[in-house]
Amino acid sequence: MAVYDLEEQEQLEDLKAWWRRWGNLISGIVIAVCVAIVAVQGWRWWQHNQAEQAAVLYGAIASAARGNDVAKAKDAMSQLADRFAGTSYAPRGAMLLAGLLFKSGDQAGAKTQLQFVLERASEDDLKQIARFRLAEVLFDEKKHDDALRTLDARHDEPFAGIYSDLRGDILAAAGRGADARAAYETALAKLDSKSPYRAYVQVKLDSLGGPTAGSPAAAGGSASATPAAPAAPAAPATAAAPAK
Amino acid sequence: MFDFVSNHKRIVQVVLALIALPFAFFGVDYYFRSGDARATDVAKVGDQAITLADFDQALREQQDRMRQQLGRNFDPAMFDNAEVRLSILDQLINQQLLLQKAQGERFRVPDTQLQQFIAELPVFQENGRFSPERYRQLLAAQNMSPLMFESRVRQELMLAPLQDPVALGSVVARGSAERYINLLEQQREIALAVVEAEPFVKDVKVEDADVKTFYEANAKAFETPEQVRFEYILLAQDSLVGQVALEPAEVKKQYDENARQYTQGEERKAAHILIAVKPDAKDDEKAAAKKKAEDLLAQLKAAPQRFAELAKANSQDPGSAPQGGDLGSFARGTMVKTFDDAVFAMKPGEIAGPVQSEFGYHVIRLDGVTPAKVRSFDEVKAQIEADLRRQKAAQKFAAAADQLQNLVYEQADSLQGAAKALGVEVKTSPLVTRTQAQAIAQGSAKFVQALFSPESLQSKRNTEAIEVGPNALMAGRIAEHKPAAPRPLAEVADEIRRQLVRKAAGELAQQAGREKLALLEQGRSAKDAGVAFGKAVPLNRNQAQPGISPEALSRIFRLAPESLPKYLGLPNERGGFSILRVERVIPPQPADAAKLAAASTRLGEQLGRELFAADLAVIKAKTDVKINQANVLKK
Repeated sequence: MAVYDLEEQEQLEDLKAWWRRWGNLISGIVIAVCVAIVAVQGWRWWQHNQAEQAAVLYGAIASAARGNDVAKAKDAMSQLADRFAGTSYAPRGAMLLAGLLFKSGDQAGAKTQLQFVLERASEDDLKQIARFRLAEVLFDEKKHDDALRTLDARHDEPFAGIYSDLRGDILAAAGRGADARAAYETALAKLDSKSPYRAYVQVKLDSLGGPTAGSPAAAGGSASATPAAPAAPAAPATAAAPAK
Repeated sequence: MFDFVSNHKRIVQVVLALIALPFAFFGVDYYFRSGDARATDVAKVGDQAITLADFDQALREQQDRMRQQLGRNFDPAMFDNAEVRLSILDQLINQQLLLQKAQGERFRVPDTQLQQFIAELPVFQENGRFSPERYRQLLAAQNMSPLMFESRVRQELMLAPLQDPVALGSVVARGSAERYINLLEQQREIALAVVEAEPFVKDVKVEDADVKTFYEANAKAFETPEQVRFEYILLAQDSLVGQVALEPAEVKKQYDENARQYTQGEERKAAHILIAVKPDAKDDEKAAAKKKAEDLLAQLKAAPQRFAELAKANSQDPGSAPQGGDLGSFARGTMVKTFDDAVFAMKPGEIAGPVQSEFGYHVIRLDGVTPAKVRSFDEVKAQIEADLRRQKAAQKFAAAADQLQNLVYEQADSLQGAAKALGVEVKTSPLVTRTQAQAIAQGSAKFVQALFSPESLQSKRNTEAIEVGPNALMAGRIAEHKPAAPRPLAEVADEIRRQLVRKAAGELAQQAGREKLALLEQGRSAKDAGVAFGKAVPLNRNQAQPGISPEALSRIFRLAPESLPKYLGLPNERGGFSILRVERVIPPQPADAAKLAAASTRLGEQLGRELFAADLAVIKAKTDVKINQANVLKK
């Protein structure tokens, strides 16, 4: 029994010596890890809390935008911008408010909100949408050159079609028909082939006149009565001005 | 070592708790989620897999939607189409992309927002107010628990901040809206002259050799369609209802045993004022809410007639406050337990409270009691009989359906056995095409597919029993098969000759039309050119009509306004040639403010959709998306 005690005693001594040597370090590490975990959790909790509050304000803007309630949207947005400007909700609230303000005739207010997105948003795609809308506001103010310059900014390929379409609108309004045509043609080349919006771009392009030979529709025109019969050769349709 | 643990029990506990903590927050799967693509996945979006099960579920939901829309015309085979399957996968991928983005941006859906959204959905409302009972019933009908449903809605709502600012925040310049109206509503005035093919028929000569050449070149077009004569049996639950025999005693027994079902339960009509407080609120908040409720109760004890007024001013139940707190009549068990118990213990006219529930404190007024009412046997006898018959027919049908499945399989070369066993009649169709067969099979494409399948046609074996409608099964067997066969030349020569004549006459007419058009374009008058134009009429962009094809329309509207008037000529759908004189552009009436606003909304929506699609494409390009095509196309 005594032997056992002795052995245990020895082990305990070893352990104590070991602890004297490493104890502080281990305690330090354990405490540091604990503090880090608590800090991370606290940070997460804080972020969660911020996001939750920002979500409520954003929700207020979204429902105000649906109900066309400018005052309510403005109020919620000013709180969102003051207290939660760093959240992803802030630029989105600003986008909604910009649309609402523009509809109510407040171009300057709309520009301020879009500018807020350009300055504060961390997401590049959101900025590209804001920039597109800023150009549309400038176009509305007849500042054609400013609007075109805004559209010159770099944008991702998927936005190329819609950017080019707006460029066409501005150029057409500025009386630069040939440039507008080119812009619409680029838009048609870049827009998704299944996009329903293409039809309207084509209408705008057509309205500018100019050559139509390049359009595939001009080549059709066989009106064979039987589907089984070999198709008649495509009839070259012609158009010319009658001299009166 | 052990005494370290025993001496420092507290510290060890704290350390253990801290280790457990991250699991509590992240969930264990955060640490153990596998990052590899597996064979059972259809796609991988970032590090998130879309499994075959996810895909099948989406496929099923889409099928259900189509089935509801198309009814009997629904053909499940359309979901075998690769394009359809890939487009469903595409939706799933987009959903996943958005979800990941929403999580990355730390979007939250506060509970209040979730509650409000659900309460405002019209499907869950009764008399313009959210009905918890209806909510539970409808979800149960979809095999969904409120928890499941709420988490789905939460997910949808979480995506709203990604969609709404892009889709709803559109800015449309006034000039763009005006142009939109101007372009889409503009009319053009045109006069039409048609060079018909008919007068040229007499100039056309078609030789027998031409007919023969055409016949040989287009043999496929001159085939009789494949036809079959088939036997079939139809087992329908409806026709079984009549065969059910009922004993009077049985009906009485059903009434006695289920008296409760024929009793209209007691209903109570009540109004309440809610002072809302969350169940997890702090004690002082609860106390404050309770105090407020007690104050209201005291006021009401003094002046009961002010209930409606106080409810409007103070109640935090958005559903009932505007109605002065009125909740209408409800049966026992409809409301939250404590509220329910209180209401069903009150006397009419009494005002009681505050009653605590998970929503907060309620001050309640009981307005009336509709006592339970037992309906007499005679009153409900007919209904019970009908119910019993239907039940029994359904049982009978279920049994008969199984039997039918087995019998048509076991005696695969005749339907007689099955028909005899089930007491239904074997019917025989006349010689029919596929389309006609489908009409006989109550429109079931699936039945026709089975009937015309190679095995069925060759072996003349029974088809399976196939569901051709709700609670209706049909099995068929080919009695005679007439494959598609070429029709002899003699039989079709006249038809071919007519076609050839028509075509040649058309070509002559088109040639004549082009000559006339050329004359007009050289500046000759219509009379000189031998063209008789009709009256000039205004035409919209989408007004295709005889002589003016959609293609002609698009060319009319493509002419530059300053180039008008102008001639156009093109072959028309009747085989002749249309000559059009496009006179002028008729601009639409100047738009008023309302019309401009509507146009800019429409245009804004279109732009919003385009921007959102582009945004999605940008997000997609930044994420690693892999598709396991083989799994998508596997059925």
